[in-house]
Amino acid sequence: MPALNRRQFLAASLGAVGSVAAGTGLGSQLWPLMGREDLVPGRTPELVLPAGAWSPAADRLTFAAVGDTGSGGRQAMAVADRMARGYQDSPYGLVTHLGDLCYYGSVEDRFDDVFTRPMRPLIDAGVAFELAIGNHDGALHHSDASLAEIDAELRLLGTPARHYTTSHGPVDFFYLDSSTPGLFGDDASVQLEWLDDALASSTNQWKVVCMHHPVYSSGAHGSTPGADELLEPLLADRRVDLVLSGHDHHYERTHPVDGVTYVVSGGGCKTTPVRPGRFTAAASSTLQYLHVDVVGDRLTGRSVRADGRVVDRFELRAREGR
Amino acid sequence: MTVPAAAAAGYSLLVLAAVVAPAVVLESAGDRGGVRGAVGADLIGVSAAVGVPAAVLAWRGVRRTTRAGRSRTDVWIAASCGLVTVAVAASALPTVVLHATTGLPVLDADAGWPVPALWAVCLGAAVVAGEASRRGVLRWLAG
Repeated sequence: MPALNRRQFLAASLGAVGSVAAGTGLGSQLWPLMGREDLVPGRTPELVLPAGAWSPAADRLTFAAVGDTGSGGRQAMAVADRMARGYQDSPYGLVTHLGDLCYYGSVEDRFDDVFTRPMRPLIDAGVAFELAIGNHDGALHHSDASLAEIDAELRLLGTPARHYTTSHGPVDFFYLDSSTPGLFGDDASVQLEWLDDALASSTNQWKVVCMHHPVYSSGAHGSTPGADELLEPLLADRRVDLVLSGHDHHYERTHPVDGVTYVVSGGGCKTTPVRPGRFTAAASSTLQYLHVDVVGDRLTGRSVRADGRVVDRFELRAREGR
Repeated sequence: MTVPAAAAAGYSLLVLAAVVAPAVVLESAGDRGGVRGAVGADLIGVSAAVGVPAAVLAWRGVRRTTRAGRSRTDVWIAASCGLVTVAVAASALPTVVLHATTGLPVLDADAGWPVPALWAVCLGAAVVAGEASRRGVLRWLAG
């Protein structure tokens, strides 16, 4: 091996350190970041859907549930396109959005990119959107700025409040603001008491709770700390059928926990890994949305991947004792 | 093929891989999510269009300096620095630029060409940075 002079030694050292740092940084940070984030802008879905093609009925409802769609990127457009194709095959009049409508900026500036463009076919078809506030919808810890962001989103979507209930056919929906301090902070009792009253007074056949942060999740964020103690007993006591959430960027369905089935449908534009836990019935790190058909006392859910493949199908029966 | 020629060819392949890798990462992430060919396929083509000339440039640069009688040690130290620079810049520049430009009307994906064009410009800048660092280190070593 030739002897190195001082400059060669310095440059070679710099190159060696740089090679190690670059290899480590690319492999463990930058490439995973590129794969995880959905930064490349995507084309607007071009489908034209028949308006109002669903059939409203007292005993049936078809709806879609999706969360974490807010990139405006190619993956978000692919999921939105699949949702539009899902409407073609089985029309629905409602999308429950499980939060994180907007990443990388304020919703006032990016609403067209992250919502209007991807959802254009469904919007034009007259589909209604109902939002459960997510942590990227104004960041956590409700500062004045984040509250303004949340207010902007609610106003843009025509959503009535941060927590609210709606009724469609045989299903009552209960939307929560699950961010901190919305549900897990000092003033959590306000929303919990509201939820308890709303669930108690619900007489419809199905009760579906929609919130951004999952009570149970085996993904990157995991189960929301405190949710099992604070929320799970209430949901079980009030005989909720299904809890829909996002936050983790994967699909997961639990076995019924005290009669309640929990679903994470957060693959709206990004994917993060999931390792099935003790409560997991099905899980997949994939871009997806949930297509739900309710007919009488039977609910059928399908988690549909962006390429149309069904990654999970499940069926629930309305809980007795109403 | 002589050893220096083979080494230069290997080096040029590494430069090509560094330039194409970010688009492959995007495409494979899309594949895993279930959208094969919809996330990075066109960007792989663009990357190859930038990467092949970059690889030729790298090969010629190493061969020329070797033939010119420069110390092989100097040549390969400088080439290593250039490769590190192009590898990091080819991944970091598109990421930073795409993040910084989210929502800009000029990046209208529906128009087709702006996004691949931006991608190509970022990779072109990464190649220039890599070549500049290779030449700069080589010059400094000779000084």
